[in-house]
Amino acid sequence: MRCCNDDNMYGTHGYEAGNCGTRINHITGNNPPIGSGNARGNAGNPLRRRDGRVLLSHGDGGLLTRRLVEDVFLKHLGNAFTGQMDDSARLPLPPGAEIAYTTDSFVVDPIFFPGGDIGKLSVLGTLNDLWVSGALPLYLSAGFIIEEGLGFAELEAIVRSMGEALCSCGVSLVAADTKVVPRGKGDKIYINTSGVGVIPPERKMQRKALPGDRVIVSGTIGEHGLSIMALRTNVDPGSLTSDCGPVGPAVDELFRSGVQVHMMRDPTRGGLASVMKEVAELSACDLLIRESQIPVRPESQELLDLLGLDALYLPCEGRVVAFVGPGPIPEGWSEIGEVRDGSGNVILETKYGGHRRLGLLEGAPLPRIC
Amino acid sequence: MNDDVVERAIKSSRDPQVFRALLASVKRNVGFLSKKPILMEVCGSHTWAISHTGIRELLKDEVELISGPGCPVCVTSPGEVAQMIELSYRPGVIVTSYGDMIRVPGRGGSLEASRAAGNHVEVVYSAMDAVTIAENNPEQQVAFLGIGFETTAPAAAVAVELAKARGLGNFTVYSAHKLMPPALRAILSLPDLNIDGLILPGHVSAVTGRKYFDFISDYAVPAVISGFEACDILYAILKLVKKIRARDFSVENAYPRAVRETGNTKAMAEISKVFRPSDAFWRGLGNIPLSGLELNTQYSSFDAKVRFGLPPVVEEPEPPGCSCAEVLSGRKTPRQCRLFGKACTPSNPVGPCMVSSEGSCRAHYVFGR
Repeated sequence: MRCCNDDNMYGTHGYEAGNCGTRINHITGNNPPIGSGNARGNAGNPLRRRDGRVLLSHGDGGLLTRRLVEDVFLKHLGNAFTGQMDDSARLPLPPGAEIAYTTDSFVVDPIFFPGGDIGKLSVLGTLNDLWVSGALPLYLSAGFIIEEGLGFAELEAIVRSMGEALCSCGVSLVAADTKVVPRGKGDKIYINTSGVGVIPPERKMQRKALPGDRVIVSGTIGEHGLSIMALRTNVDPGSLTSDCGPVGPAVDELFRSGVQVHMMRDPTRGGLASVMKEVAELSACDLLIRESQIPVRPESQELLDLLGLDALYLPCEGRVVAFVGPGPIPEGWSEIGEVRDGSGNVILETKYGGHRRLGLLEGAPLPRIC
Repeated sequence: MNDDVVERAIKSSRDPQVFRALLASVKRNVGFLSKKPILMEVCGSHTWAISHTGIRELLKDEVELISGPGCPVCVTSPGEVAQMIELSYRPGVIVTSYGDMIRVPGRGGSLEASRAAGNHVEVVYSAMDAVTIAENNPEQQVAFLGIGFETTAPAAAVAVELAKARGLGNFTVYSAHKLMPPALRAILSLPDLNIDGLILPGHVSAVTGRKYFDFISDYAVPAVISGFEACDILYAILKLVKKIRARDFSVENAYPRAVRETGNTKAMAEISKVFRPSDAFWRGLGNIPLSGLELNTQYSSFDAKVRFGLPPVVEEPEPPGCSCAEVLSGRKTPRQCRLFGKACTPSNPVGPCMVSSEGSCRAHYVFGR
């Protein structure tokens, strides 16, 4: 397993690389004096039992807050380096580097789904945004809004999977915050993450598609949205799981292949169709997409038919669509269409040879899907 | 039919090679007609599929495909929409609805706007979900908005029976259900309507059976029951084109893997156990005698109109400038509406045909080039 930037070109910046785990420079909102007055070992404390629940007083900045931070957050997100408690993290960056910085909030319902949970999603969602910008992710912050009454077991499972996701991507959590809101004022847990990365010169893209480019995708589409919608409608998703995962490896391979990458996006909310429409408008080009070449799993197709959903408008959480020049593309990527002179239209050639326009997702709300 | 046969039939109904052969055959057979035929479908799922597969575009020179009153949300009358919205403002009432309905604009805003204003509007995927909500909220009144045709009415009937069996005194149905035959009679009697053939709804027919539509032959308009896959629809169009040429006005079943002669007798029995035909207003067609369903006397305590003392539905004006009424009765195409794509879009719909994924305006807007 790759840990904590140790094979990252903008690597460790003089930090201790530490164990597999993540570093926390500061945790605010609760301002606990981490490492002092450790409450661990108090196994009889009802608030620490596995069936315990988060109380409003876990967010008051006092003793319970400290326990919450130590027993849940630091346990899975902290590591040997917890540093001087500060109001902000101070981050070394290579001189002259171009920084990519992004933020995203996660409100997915349900918070656990086949193939992931809100914790994994909140880490990878933001890191994926950095990768598709050409950046190598370095640092992540996380803000938690927890509804009173969330079970500790659930919270811990979420935080654990955040730790695992960070660890597997070699990224450090450098800042975090927790708030608890009264029951009914939130829904279980919301997570906001922000990420910082550095764009190496060879990954700078012109950030628009050019006529003649090919449109390629890094895998089958729609699985994240579909597995969430299946759960929400009480339909058995069968073997289908969310595609929630890091796009780093696919992006690395694409850059290594030597093909000219002009633009990349990850088709999350709004799905592949909405992202392609945005790119077409931004680039003032038309896209011609061939439905027969869009990769969709057969088990997805069955569920799509049952639920009356269109894979093109369902979010993916581990896929990339890229607009590339000539040259061989890596294995696992599929060519689905091409860029032409035009004025921002996306035209889908159906598998029957007909054509229809693809627009932005409009008037068909799929709320809280990521 | 066993599952393997159905599986094979569905596969071939999506086979692009079969599709191309059917397409060529339709084009060849249209050549034998004296004019470009106008075919009307009366099912929202057909509206969607015809645009989604690209059939409309592929046949644009050979066949004019128009939509009739087949989209459940769209045919719900402005008066009914206004009552649904009003119901959601009653204290202690949870209104449960299929998703598309909540965005339909009407007098008093929309159910979506009502929800945003703090009222309790829940989107459900089935009438059973509404019964569950009633069970879980005993201190609240739960009204289920029953819309749709012979397809959705059986499920609403079963929900009412279930609520009765469980002694749920807080569950009611606001029945805006509609029956297909009276609407088709009304359409076929319109003096200014000019259609050459009817594509009949496969889902409704699966419940009602083919024979239910035999009355259409009295109007000397060929009619064919169609499935929903690309090849199913082309096959039905091909049959219609041939029937137009042969002046064959029998009602034909081109969807035998789902539709029988007499349909689903259990489901039909369920409808007539709980509901009885009543006069109903349709958007675009006005008041049609005995074209709706209201709850039978023995189930009247589950009738939202009775429980909440709602007055009879009256004719309400369409939103200003909206052509949904003309579109639903085949007298205008969506693009002939002056609001289409300008003041009226899926994000900001003026009429229901732009709201529902089964609406004709929305299909033309979303899938048009």
